[in-house]
Amino acid sequence: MSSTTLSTSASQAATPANRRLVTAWLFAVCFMIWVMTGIGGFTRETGSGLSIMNWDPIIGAIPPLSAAAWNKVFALYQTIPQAQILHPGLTLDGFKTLFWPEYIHRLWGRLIGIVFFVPLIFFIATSRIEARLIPWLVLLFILGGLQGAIGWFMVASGFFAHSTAVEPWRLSLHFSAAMFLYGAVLWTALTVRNPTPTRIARGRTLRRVTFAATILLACTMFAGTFVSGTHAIDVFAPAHAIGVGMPPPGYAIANFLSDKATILFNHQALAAFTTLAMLTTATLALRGAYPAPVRDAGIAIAGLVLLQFALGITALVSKLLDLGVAHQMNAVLLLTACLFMLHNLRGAAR
Amino acid sequence: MKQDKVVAAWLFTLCFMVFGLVAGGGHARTIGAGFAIQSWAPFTGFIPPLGPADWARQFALFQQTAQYQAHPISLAVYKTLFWPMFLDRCWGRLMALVFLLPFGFFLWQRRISFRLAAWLLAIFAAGGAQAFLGWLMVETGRHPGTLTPPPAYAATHFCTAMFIFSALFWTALTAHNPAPAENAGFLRPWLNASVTLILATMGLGAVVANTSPEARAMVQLVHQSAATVTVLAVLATCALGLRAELSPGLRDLLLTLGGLVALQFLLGMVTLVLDAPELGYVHELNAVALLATALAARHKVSGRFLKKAPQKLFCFPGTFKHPV
Repeated sequence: MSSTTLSTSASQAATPANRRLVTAWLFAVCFMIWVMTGIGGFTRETGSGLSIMNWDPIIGAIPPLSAAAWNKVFALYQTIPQAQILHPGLTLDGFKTLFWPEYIHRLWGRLIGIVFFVPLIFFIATSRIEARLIPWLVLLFILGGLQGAIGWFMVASGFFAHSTAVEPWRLSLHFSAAMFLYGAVLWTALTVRNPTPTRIARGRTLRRVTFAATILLACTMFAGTFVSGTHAIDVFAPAHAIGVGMPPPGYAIANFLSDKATILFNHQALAAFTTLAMLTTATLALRGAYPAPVRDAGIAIAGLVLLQFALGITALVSKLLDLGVAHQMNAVLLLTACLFMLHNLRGAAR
Repeated sequence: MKQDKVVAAWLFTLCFMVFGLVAGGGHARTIGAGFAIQSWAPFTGFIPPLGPADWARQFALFQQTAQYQAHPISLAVYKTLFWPMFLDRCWGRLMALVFLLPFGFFLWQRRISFRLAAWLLAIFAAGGAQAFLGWLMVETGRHPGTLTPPPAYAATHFCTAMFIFSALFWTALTAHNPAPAENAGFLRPWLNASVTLILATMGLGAVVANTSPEARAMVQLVHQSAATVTVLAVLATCALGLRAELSPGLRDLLLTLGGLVALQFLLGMVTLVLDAPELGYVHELNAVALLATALAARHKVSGRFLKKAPQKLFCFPGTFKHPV
């Protein structure tokens, strides 16, 4: 095989049709990860994360099929502290309502693995992907598997003595890893779609501000995982000025991971700064003479951050956990808009 | 109408003074001072009570109100209700002067056309009617069982103020820039809808603010539903406009409009959740700023324009343009 053949196959791999195909595939994976954050949020909200007590990456895809199989998993669940403390006298039907969300969460994870792996092999076999991209995509696949393992690492912490929920820091780790993976797949998709940065005059300040806003967003999302992991909205009491954006009495770094009022305040304070940074980003993007995609990203960022703020307040005040899930999913959309903006600004010039 | 920046500045000043009147009225409502002055003397009322006898007479009138009979107060406390209300009324009289003196001067200079003069006089008459309506509202204080200004009066009083404000502001904008030629005519229906919805939501908000908290649930729900529709419509207007190539002026107006409507939504939510009437007052003032911004944006697209559609949604130039 000569070098000519190799270069020919490389240029074939980068044809617009192939790039469009790879982009669509990676966007589909992104969409599935986004849905996954919703299912995961729902699993957390229904407190059903501990209902499956073993981790069989392959065989676990088969749910209990007989009464005997159901009784076996139910008996296993009844041995853990959560079942004894939170659900004494739970019926098998009651157990099933805990089982299914967790099962669907895990099954969706397996499905993402398949949707990632099978087309990857197909695209490699038919030389539809540039060679330099292959190791990176294989790495992403391995990281996806690792994310499953982190999920199990998190669930395992819920079986400790006297424990009725998973440890919040492990939940944070699980969500943060998901976000890094999501960001990596999205960035790859955007780069395959538009490999050459367009030069954007006077875009450097905008890029720096967007970058800062994105870092702030990541911090706020991270702080938000502790709000959900500890159910910190339980302490919301506007009459006592708790949860209305003011530091609680005795505010100290030592309480950052344990005190609910502190956790809530940290998330709110970061959210306020993030919102201001996002609105600044949007204003800069819309007031400068930038290409349409930059303007569109600015509009999307402004709209999503306002929605996010409103959803956060509404979730807090109403204590509706479903709104918390919507708030979480919208955060991912906001992150998407920021990454889209940053990707468009790769060619930002002074 | 021809361009006249001096006339425009005069009219903008009047708009600003209407804003001051809204601030004064809102403050009177927030502290519950609406019924404090139970007399109306359009011309001589600018003289405050000068001696104990005057105070005793005013206080005696207030003592006839159901509000006083339900919650008797001392003369000292009465004075804290009297002064804000007095200032609000004097501000209204001052507005009449700020209107009439330059108006007469401009007429004498033949600086304003007959048409404009007639239109401005109509606005002035509406201002007088507004003052009279205010008095009718205050006078209900003597009706048995009426503890605060009835929502029907208070909301009408507020809506009339907003119509006068809109008319004055539009006239001022036209005097400032008679032929706005913004090439964004597609925004016209969107901004019409925005202005209409903002006005409607403001009227409903005035009903909420003047209804007692116990009876508020229904009007609150209607105000909130209208507010949600308004926010969505205004944000859609901003997004559509900002996607197109606009002049810097209109672009910044739309950015301000989006920011103010979001702030307004947030203020409304926080007012409700924290049950804080003071924030309700800020919410009210921000609504006027929002209305003014929407009117200014609408004015920009009121001239003759070429039809130009907004950009296709999600067209991303620079995609797949590489050599095959």
